[in-house]
Amino acid sequence: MLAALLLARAAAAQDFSGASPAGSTRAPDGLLDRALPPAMATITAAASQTRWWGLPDLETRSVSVGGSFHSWRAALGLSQTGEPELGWTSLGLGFGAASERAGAGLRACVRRDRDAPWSVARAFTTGDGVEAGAGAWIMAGDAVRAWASAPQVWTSGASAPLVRPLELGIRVGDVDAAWVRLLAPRAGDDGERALGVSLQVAPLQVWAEARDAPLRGSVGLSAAVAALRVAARIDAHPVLGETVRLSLAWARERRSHP
Amino acid sequence: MIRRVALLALIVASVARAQSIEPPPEAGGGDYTLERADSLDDAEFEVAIGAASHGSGSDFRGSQRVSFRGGGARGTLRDGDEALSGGRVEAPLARGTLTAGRLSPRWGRGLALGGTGEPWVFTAEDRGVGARYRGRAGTGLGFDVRGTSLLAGRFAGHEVLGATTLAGAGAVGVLAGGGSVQGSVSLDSEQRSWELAFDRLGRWRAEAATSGAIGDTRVSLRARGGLATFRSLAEPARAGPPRALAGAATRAFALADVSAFGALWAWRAGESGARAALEVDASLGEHQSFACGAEDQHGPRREPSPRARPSGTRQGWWCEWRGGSPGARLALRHELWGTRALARDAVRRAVVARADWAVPFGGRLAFTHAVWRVRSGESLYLPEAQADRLVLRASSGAGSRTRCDLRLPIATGTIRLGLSLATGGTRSASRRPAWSVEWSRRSRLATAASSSRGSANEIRGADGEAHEFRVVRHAGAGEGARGEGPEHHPPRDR
Repeated sequence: MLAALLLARAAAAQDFSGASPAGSTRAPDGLLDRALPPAMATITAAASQTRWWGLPDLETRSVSVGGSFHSWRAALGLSQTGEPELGWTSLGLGFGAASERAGAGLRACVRRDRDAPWSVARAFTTGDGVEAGAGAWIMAGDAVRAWASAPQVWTSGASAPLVRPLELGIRVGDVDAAWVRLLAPRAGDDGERALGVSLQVAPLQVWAEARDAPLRGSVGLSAAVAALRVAARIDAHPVLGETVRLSLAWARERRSHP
Repeated sequence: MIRRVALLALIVASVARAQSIEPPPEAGGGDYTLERADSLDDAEFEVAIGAASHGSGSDFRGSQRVSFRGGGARGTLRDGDEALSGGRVEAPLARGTLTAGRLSPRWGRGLALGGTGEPWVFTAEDRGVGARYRGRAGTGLGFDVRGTSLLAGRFAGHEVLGATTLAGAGAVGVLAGGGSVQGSVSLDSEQRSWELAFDRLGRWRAEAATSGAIGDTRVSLRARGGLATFRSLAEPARAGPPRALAGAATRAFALADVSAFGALWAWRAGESGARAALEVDASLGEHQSFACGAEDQHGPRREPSPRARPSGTRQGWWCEWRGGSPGARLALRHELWGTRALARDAVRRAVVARADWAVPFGGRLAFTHAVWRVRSGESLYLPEAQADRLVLRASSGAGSRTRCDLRLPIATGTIRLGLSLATGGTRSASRRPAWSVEWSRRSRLATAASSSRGSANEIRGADGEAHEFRVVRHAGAGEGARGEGPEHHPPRDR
């Protein structure tokens, strides 16, 4: 139980992270999780489940919806993690604007422990953890995307369980792509660097990413049928074990991506 | 003479402009603010009123600023500004120029007046005419007429009198103050300059600099020699090392400009240092660029105290990308320094992202987020470009700083709103957001003189040049003053 509690802290800041690879312009969780709005005007509904490090008591379940109006993008999500004794519920909101060449967004997340039953009175008491962040991306070329995401620019209330620092990334390609990510250092580490590739073998898309500190990797697989996309992702950690994420998303694009 | 000095500075600047800015030696701990040279055209004036949060409470402090230029006169007056209080006024008088207020003159190579203090820097960025920033060497009066300059003011805590006169390409000057007298003999030509400074006790220093081209490579060299006991009586903190040798070379290749820098210096016996750097700057189209560099440093950069521990080696590398269009821009930067080869055993790491967008009504919104981690005993300065200044934020430990700036044309002027939030280790910032607001209006003194660029209400003023985005590195300071120069030039650097 104690181990689950400690590990749970590290999962708390990724309440809306789905199974999409980094830097994708189509990631339904981009706006909620990293303040990066999608390039296309879409209406999305997504649900995901994450089992952290193989612990059955530590699962994150989330649902989210997103919409657009002209160049404006918005998303709303609800997430619940863990058992009532040590879990928490998160509400996320993302808002931004994007075109085919650039986008910028803001995100906010409110987190509350599940150690007591929900009630109207409790909803207005203090004790929530609040965080807000911002992100921006830009097309540096025909198929080159650069982004910067700072999910926790501002925090208040209960301390965020995990510090999510500034992330910089560059992705070359759309469906067949390669990317590099850089996470800024936190108080207890020296940052993180990641290198990934993605290949499409219609209707499947497979991707893999390697990260350092410590050396570890992720692989993912997704399949799209009409407007539905099913994705799976496995993160392997040499000490903590495997994290498995599954997501199901429905997305209706209003115009095609260049 | 002014043309020669400006040309030499321009050449040197173009060779070595890639380096970042660092607080000068006389700056204390904490943040340091550099005042930009004003960008007023002739017959223009600008007024600004503002307020900024003060301290950790809810207090705020108001400020006012007036800048003008016309009829041979120019000046800036400030009130209520914590970092840049006071001002400076120049006015024509008796066929010369009278200057009052802050003075930041430079004679020759700066050995007697207006030096850099950094062993690898050729010319101070905040001294002399045409400098990118206005320095604060002292306060007092100056008068320039027909090649002769006189000054009287308070420099480094004591009264200083000075006089210099031109003789062709050469100049002779005398400084007196604090019970001492110093002399300066210098020569400035288009590609070469040198200076010999000495005092009545026989202490001296000499420096020579040259720049030119070897094939397609532009090269600058600087050599200095003399006694460690010689110090400028006006700016002793900027004495720099008594012996130094520095060089810089830049060559434009098809894909990128490549620059190399090198410097050797010695403070005293057993206290020497060296620095070498290589930088590559590639343009990736009209609005994009990529730059990266590597650097190696040994020994103390600033004059060490006799009991200071020996400084070790620092190796670092950095890369920076800028892209987007004028409507939406993004800049990313990463910098890493370590005590071992290839920047291993990291002592400083900084990651910076800046995005800015055009917003409706002709405004601009900028968002900068920086994250750093600095080992105890190391220093890191994060630049924060503002409308009329560049603030170098002293940062330590691990932390982050976020700044949001909004510029909007409003009420026949421009309003600038700024909000900063710092978390973690900074020497000056609390967790409370710091805010600032300033409204400014730039107007023409006479409507007949309408040939200058821009309109009265156009948003102008710098928001951070490329070099200002750079994180201040362990070694690195800009050099080479550049600028259009004032309309009414005094005959000597001032």
